[in-house]
Amino acid sequence: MAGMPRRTDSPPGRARVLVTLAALAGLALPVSLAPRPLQAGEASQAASPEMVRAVSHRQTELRRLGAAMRVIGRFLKSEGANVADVGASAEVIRAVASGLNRDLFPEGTAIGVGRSAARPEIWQEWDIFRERARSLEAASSRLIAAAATGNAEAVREPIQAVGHACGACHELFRRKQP
Amino acid sequence: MTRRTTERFPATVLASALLLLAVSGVAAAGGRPDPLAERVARGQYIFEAAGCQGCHTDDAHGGQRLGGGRAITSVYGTFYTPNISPDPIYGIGGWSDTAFIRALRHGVSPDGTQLLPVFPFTAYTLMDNQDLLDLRAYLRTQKPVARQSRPHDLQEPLAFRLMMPVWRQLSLTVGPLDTNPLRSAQWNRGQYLVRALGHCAECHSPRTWSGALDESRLFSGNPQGLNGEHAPNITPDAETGLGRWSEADLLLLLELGLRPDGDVVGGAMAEIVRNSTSRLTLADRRAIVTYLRSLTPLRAEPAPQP
Repeated sequence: MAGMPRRTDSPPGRARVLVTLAALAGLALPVSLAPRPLQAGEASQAASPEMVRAVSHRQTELRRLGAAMRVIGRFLKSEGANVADVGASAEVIRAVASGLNRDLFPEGTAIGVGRSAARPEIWQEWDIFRERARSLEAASSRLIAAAATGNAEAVREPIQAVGHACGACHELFRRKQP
Repeated sequence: MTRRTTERFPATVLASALLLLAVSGVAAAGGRPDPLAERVARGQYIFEAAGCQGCHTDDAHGGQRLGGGRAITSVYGTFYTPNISPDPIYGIGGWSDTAFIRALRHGVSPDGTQLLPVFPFTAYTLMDNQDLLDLRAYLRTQKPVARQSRPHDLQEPLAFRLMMPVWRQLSLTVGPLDTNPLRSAQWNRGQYLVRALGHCAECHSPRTWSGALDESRLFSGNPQGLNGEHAPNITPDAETGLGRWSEADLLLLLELGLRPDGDVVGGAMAEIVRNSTSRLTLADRRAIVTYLRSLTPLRAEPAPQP
């Protein structure tokens, strides 16, 4: 905050123009921040049909994960799911989590390929990505064990861990969903 | 409003000074459980509810906690958050409590520079004095980071500077937030958490030409929110907002980031869930939900398709 706007050597006449520009900035500039639209041919150049299929397969797998989380949400909201359902969902989550590697995330399947929302940072920060995938796997294993006791209270903490593991990965590696 | 600000300022300082005296008086009297430790613990809760850590730590580049340096991109250029660790040279360790309150309440730094509103002092101005002092007490206990704050990289820094007085006139209503006696304690707590500490409106509201929050459309979402991401409508509009979400749905989002469809939120909100809303008490999450559900439903433009 001490490093406020730097001085620039603008001639005084320019200042008024700049104020106007700043005023218009709210209208004009957001466009420049929007993700750059793909140029014609760019997507097809980058994406082979094989890669597009890989994205679609990955999204099907992750939708299984989402469906399992939805059941867990229904359990937490007391909307007709029980501890056994939570255990079964945790099995699905662990299965999907254990596949969050190059099989589901081959290189060349980032944003721009099919409907991919996978940020390129996944491959740039592969170790962090894998660490987060493993933490989801570990949390889902704990949830399976807790659900096996049948105790509705025991599953709460591991559910939190699973939810936060999902968010930790999405925070860094998934493009914002509309 | 600037006029009002000027008039109220000495009163605020006086009130803070009196509060400080009162607090140290209690401490000197002794007998009670350590009041400073209690204040620090309360301050940590305020710190989390106000979401200070996220912006003031450059996680992506392994930056030290509260050492600042995180880049926030906007239509005006890139802001780099400052060091708010207690380092006396590089951080805010050398600030008096009065200076700290002035920065959050009035958006003015100790050397008199007007702070840029990327720092949400228009929300923090609504905080209680005691919460500000407790937050300050907590920040003092954190590890000092010897890292110089990086200057912002703005497209038109001079224009920005010239616009600030105008902007303050339009956008700053000095707090603290008034209690609404017609509403429940829970609703008032929710209002305080959402408007003052959580500064939810900063991302979840459209802005006017001047970059000020569009007060007539608060919480109706912003297609160009933080880092250019779409921030959704959080008013109870059934079609474009949260009107179809139950109280339990909203509580799960704040606790786990979990949406009713089983998706878990990402981006900036994932960070806010992790650092802030999941750490609140259940009573406070309920208060937030109560307040959000009481808002006037506003229709918003549908989210842009990627």
